[in-house]
Amino acid sequence: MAAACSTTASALRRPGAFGGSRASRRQLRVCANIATEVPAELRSLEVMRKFSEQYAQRTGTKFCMDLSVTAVVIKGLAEHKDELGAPLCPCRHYDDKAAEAEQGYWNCPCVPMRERKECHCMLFLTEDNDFAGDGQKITLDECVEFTKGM
Amino acid sequence: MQATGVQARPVATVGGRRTATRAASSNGARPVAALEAGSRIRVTAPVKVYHVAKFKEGLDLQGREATVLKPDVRDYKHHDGKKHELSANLPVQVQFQVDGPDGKVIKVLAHLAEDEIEAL
Repeated sequence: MAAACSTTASALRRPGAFGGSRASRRQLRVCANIATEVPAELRSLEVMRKFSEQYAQRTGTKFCMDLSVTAVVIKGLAEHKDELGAPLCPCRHYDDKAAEAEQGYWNCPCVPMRERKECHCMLFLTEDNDFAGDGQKITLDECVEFTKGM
Repeated sequence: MQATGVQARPVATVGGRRTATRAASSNGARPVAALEAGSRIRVTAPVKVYHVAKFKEGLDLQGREATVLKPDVRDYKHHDGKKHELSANLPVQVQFQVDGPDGKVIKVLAHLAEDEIEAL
């Protein structure tokens, strides 16, 4: 899989190698990092899954000991991303979702999480939280499995 | 008086907006509803923030003073020009000047709730 990815990446980079801007080359590299075999309907889920793993790492927070909680939140984020263009927090009620997504306070990672590490979805848990597990990883299969029938 | 470091505007003319009615509270302090950009506030509740690069272990804001940048982030200019109901629960955006570990002053922006601050 890694070989296929690097071939794709270098093939895409070649046309831009002499004429393309640095920004466009960087963008292609990012696209190559998302698993190329992910079907279209799972792309947002994969993007939010990847984001969740990386953000947990970056903030030193842990996923819930019950990974189905994590999966449901990630799915909710993916759905809002598809519906509104931004991953609005799925655990809150809004009068006007489009306006909220535009303003950005509740776009994941929301302001309370960014500033205070307060995630009431229980997606990112500080280590002192009673429900914090040991992990900062969840697979795409687990995300799909735990949210079947949603 | 501490320098604010933010745009210095005379309080009376900020944005042309009238401040809220100044109902007296029990201790005579100005009600939080009267806040405008440039007002000074003090944090009265224990609030720890983790988004400051030089304070990765957390920075306690209680007792610190700050300048208001936006009194209500829900008052947002949408691209369609209309007013929408937004639900931010920490609507007051303020700026602190904090002494960093290396002695330099750092600018820290944070969002606070109305019941976590008092107007100065």
